[in-house]
Amino acid sequence: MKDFTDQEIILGCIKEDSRFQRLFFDKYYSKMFAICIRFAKNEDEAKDILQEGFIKAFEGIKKFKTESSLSTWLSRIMINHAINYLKAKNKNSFLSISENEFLVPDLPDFDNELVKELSPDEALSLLQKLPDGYRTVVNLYAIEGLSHKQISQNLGISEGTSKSQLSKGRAILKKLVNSLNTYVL
Amino acid sequence: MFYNKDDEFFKLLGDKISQVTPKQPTNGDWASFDKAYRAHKQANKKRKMVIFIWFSVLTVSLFGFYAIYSNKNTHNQVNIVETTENKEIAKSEVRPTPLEIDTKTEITTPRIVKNKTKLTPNKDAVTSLNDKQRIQKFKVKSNNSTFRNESNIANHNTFNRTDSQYELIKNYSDVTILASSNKALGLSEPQFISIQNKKLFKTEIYSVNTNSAKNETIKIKGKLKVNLAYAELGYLLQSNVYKQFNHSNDLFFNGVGAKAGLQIGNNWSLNFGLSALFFNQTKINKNAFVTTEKHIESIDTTIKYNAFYKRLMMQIDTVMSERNVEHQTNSSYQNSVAFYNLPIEIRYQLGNEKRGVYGALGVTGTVVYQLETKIQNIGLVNETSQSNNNYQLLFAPTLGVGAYQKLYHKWALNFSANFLKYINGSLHQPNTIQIQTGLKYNF
Repeated sequence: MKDFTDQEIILGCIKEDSRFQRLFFDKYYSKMFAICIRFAKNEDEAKDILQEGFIKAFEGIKKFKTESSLSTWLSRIMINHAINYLKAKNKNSFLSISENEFLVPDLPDFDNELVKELSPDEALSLLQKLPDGYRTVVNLYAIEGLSHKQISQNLGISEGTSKSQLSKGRAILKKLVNSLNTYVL
Repeated sequence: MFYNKDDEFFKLLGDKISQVTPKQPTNGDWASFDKAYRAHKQANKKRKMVIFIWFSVLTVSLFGFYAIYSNKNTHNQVNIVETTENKEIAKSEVRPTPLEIDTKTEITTPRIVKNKTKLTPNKDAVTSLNDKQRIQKFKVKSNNSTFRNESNIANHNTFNRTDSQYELIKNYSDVTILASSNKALGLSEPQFISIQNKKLFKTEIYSVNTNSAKNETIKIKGKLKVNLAYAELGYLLQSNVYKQFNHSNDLFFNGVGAKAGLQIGNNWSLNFGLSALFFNQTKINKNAFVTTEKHIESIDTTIKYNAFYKRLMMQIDTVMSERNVEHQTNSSYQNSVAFYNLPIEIRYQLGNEKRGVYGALGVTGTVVYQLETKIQNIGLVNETSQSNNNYQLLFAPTLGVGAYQKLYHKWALNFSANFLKYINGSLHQPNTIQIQTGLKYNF
């Protein structure tokens, strides 16, 4: 099949031509799934987020401005939708854990080499074990590269809460890495 | 202590996670998504349709209610014949009129004032006049047969009102008027009987700017009236919104349209309409291809005795020729579409009963129905026909102009042109022009 440019695919999607929608879907599925799976608890949840994210993308593709990359634009949609999805899922509990709850002591002597021993799937699995709020902050900070200010604006929380969530998420992750290695040994 | 982006732990973890093998889409994934997407679109369409219907019903109800309510209050109109002996009444001298109107009494509005018509004396209406008094006669038309007699009108419905009488009436409430005697109010017997018998109520029809005696501007009080003003029926042409089918027959599609207008001001009207347009989109693809056919021109068979092999040998000589044959097939794609337009417009009209022009601004809701899709391959005798129930709900701000010319009685020839810009949907040409010609009936 002929390779279409992003511009052609966008025009096709604006006309709601299902062939171009399929091309668009196939082209960005893998990349977007990788984003969704990091925010989701499991694969089913990731698929739900992905599906709804693509629907939003098709509905909003008329507003897409060609100055930015289609991939970046779509990633933003997926991340925003993943955040909204998790917020809706945890209406009252998302990022509302008090300071004293889930007190997990940091491990100052944690050996980062243990992380290198992990397989990619194991690393993803550990991330998915975090509560939704922690996982979201860790994702946005450590993987998407957002600052605490940006995270606070995105999630509607204070910078302090963002830092606190990240710290707790990091502590839990280290503990999980430790326990995994202990179990393996 | 909080960690920054250089945190080694997160860096290593992030690297590991990004190495996860990306999941490739399967046909099942697409099918599942496609199904969800179509269901979502269908639900969206239904929601929009419900909103549109509710909005339309609400708008129509509001205006209908207002029209009925307003009609009820403005049904009675006052027909005023203003007279003096030999001179015109200075407009500034006209005072607020404390007319009291029976709900069953039909009174026409003082158009003489509204249209700034030159006021002329009506000698028949006045029997005696005092030059120093400004007299105004008010003739009240009534459905009651008693009052149709001219003499009765003179006795009961027509009365002379001086300024002093007006001043007296003005200061009394309706209740007081009905409860008081005619002498107390300074009214003549016929006037008082008229008021009491018909339970008239005080109404100010117009007011006069009394700030300056020289100011001749008469201000009509802005009482909003809503009446069914006109109805239009006509033939409608609309430019094709699917421009990719650039076929000469598809430049326009046509149908019929009807509109009704409610008068909401002197020159303003609010009109609603409905039009239905049907058309067939046709796209014909002509495909030509050439095949080469081989023909045997001649076959020569010779049987000879071959001495070397000591046997009979048969020799066949064939003469072949090639011929190019051109084939042509036509495939046609035919799509039957129906457009139902529901315009709501505010119209401003300039002109009179005979002729005039108007401008309109509003919004048009359009329901597009795809009725049938037919794909036909002529030559291969292959035809596919599919009935569709797909519909699309579109909205378009509408800007229009029009003109009318009186033909006979209340009928006029009407012409209007509208420009519509569809703001949603997947039309290839969201800018479209509508032209309507037809008849207009003024109520």
